[in-house]
Amino acid sequence: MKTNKGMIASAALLALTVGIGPAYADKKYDTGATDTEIKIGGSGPFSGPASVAGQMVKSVAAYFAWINTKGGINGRKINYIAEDDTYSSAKAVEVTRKLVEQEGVLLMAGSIGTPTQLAVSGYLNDKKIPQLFIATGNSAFYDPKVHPWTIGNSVTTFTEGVLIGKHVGQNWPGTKVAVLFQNDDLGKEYFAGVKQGLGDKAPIAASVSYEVSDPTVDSQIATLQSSGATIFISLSTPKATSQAIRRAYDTGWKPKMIIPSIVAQIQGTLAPAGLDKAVGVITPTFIKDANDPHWANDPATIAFLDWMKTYDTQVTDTALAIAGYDAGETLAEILKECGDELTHENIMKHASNIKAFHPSLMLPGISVTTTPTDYRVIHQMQFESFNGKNWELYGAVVTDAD
Amino acid sequence: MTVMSTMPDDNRADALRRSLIYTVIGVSLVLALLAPAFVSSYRIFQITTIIVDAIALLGLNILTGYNGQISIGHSAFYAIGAYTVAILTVKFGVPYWIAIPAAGLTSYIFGFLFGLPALRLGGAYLALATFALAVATPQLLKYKLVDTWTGGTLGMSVKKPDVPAWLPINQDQFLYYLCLLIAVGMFIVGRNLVRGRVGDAMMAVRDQPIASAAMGIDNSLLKTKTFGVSAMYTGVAGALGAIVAQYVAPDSFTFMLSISFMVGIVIGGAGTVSGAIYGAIFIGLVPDLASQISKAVPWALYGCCLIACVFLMPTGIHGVISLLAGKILPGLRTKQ
Repeated sequence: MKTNKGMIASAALLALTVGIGPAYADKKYDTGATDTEIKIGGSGPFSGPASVAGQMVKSVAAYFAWINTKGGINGRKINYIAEDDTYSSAKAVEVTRKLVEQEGVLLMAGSIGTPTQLAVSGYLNDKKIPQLFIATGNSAFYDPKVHPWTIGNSVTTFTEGVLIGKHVGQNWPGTKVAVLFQNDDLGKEYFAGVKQGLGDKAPIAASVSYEVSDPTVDSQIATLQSSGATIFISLSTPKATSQAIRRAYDTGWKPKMIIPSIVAQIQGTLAPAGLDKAVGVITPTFIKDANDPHWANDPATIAFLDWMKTYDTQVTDTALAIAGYDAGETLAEILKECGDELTHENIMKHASNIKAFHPSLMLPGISVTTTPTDYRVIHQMQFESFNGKNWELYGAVVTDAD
Repeated sequence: MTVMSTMPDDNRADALRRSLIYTVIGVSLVLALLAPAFVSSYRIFQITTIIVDAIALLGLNILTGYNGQISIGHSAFYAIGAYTVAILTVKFGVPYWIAIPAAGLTSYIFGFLFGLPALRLGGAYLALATFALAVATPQLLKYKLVDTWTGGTLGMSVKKPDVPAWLPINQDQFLYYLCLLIAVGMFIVGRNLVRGRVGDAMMAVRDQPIASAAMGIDNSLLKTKTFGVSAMYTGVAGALGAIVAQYVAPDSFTFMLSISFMVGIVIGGAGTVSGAIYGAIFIGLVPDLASQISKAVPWALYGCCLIACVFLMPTGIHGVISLLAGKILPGLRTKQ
């Protein structure tokens, strides 16, 4: 919709001459925004082997459907269009181009899929279309120098590594540490973070890598155990993590074990190892686990669970629903701040200047902050330890800033 | 009717038919050349994807339609083409006019080598062997030893070719014309191949393997070469597909891609050249339409659409079009 500039200008002039305060801010729209609607696109796998992950995008859509029932944002309804990219990067390019060029969305947000979103970030950045709040920890989505129009919605792998390292250094200074890491970008990035976080507070007695294709990590555990370390950081994906938990217990090593947040699922990772063997395992987190009885009386959690029952009916995975709800909440906040200037540029300006915004499901004391030179949205995590049934938060929030 | 009296009739009908076909092809080409001036950039991108798929379908059709060998592993050759072009242009800075033929050649070699042992298998057994290829490829691309080249799970971006400075068109339009040019070339070559002696030999091997061997055709060599040529077509399509999508990642080349190629040739018309084009339009547009109609059950709709096509058009879209043309202009009816 085009604004009649002449009319507004004369109205502004009139306002000035009669001296009734400042003129109304000019409404400014890029394609996808009107007086009544904001069009947003998102993509994720809704079919095919990875289709569970698509529940996150469906949750973002459900979040905005709910916002619309409450009157939308600044009087505008949110038209969130979610497309199925089947986790194929070729298909992701196709649906993203369709959303941008055919549907004319103002921005892309709340998508999931690291390779698929990497595949479209070049295109979106060339077109200067904001690509916001993707569920990924990959650092490529948090680098304003490489992709100035792209911001993720999680803690970066590196930051999480730093926080794990700092936590160990603060709580057990001087204790020998053993590290297992997956021999790929993910594992190496975690490990680099851990090293930085540890600094000279605690020595790394041994570090071994494993391949995703390795059938077991038994030999790696043996090497790590023989180093005499009593803290064991396992920077691994679910299968290897389960194996490491079980093996470290069965051999009688029983170190203090730390695993990354992405694998900290009780059913998916700890149960296969044996819940009794996982007692005492530590992981960092930044979000409230709605299934945890600890939050049963938390108003935000109650509101979330109500919403999930009423609006997010297609979604079964609570963690993905939380991720979608959280992305929706942060995005809604930014759109609210943008007011009537709904341009690509203004959205990016607000998305890269978030000042300690606290989404309702984030842990107390943890907030979202970005600056134009630092797109990492989350800098803090709190640690929790497994008691055989649930995760129990303990200690203070750890932050990566010194 | 005597033979004498039908001869001139047939010739006339033949000439008429041919001139009509050439007119249709000519008009379509002119429309295709003018299209970028009239449709949006996204539509051009979509048509480019369809053109690329048509090349892949022609490749599979040469193998399955004309030579009777079922492959559900063509996603692997598509991936080989895509990765060849990606690695050559990104890691080595090779220009596109070398990288695309190189992708075709690489796929030909892989297809030929895979064909050597596999083509001793027939029917369902060959299908299973090619299935193995389709499911293994995405994993192999992520494999440790090659991931510095392939970019592992995350894949890598591919740049679109730069438009020559003297051409007043944008990158999407340039890519469209490039794909169109390559497709037209490959369709002419493909048509001549299947209409010529080689094509007759392919069909003889398909229909009467014993008779064809008796006539002096080296059945297994011909089958292997056909497999190679088929893989080459699909590889070139993969190369263009990678450039169009500007990205390659292992999970784009799953078994589902092979199946959609198979769907394309059957719906378009197995054993026909133009069927590849109809099939590409079908696999390019119908899944999209299905998801527009219903977000909840797009694949069920797609499935219904497939079943309807198979029942109502047993000879594919090509068959229906020639049937209709024959009904409207009886003189054009293909002589049998």
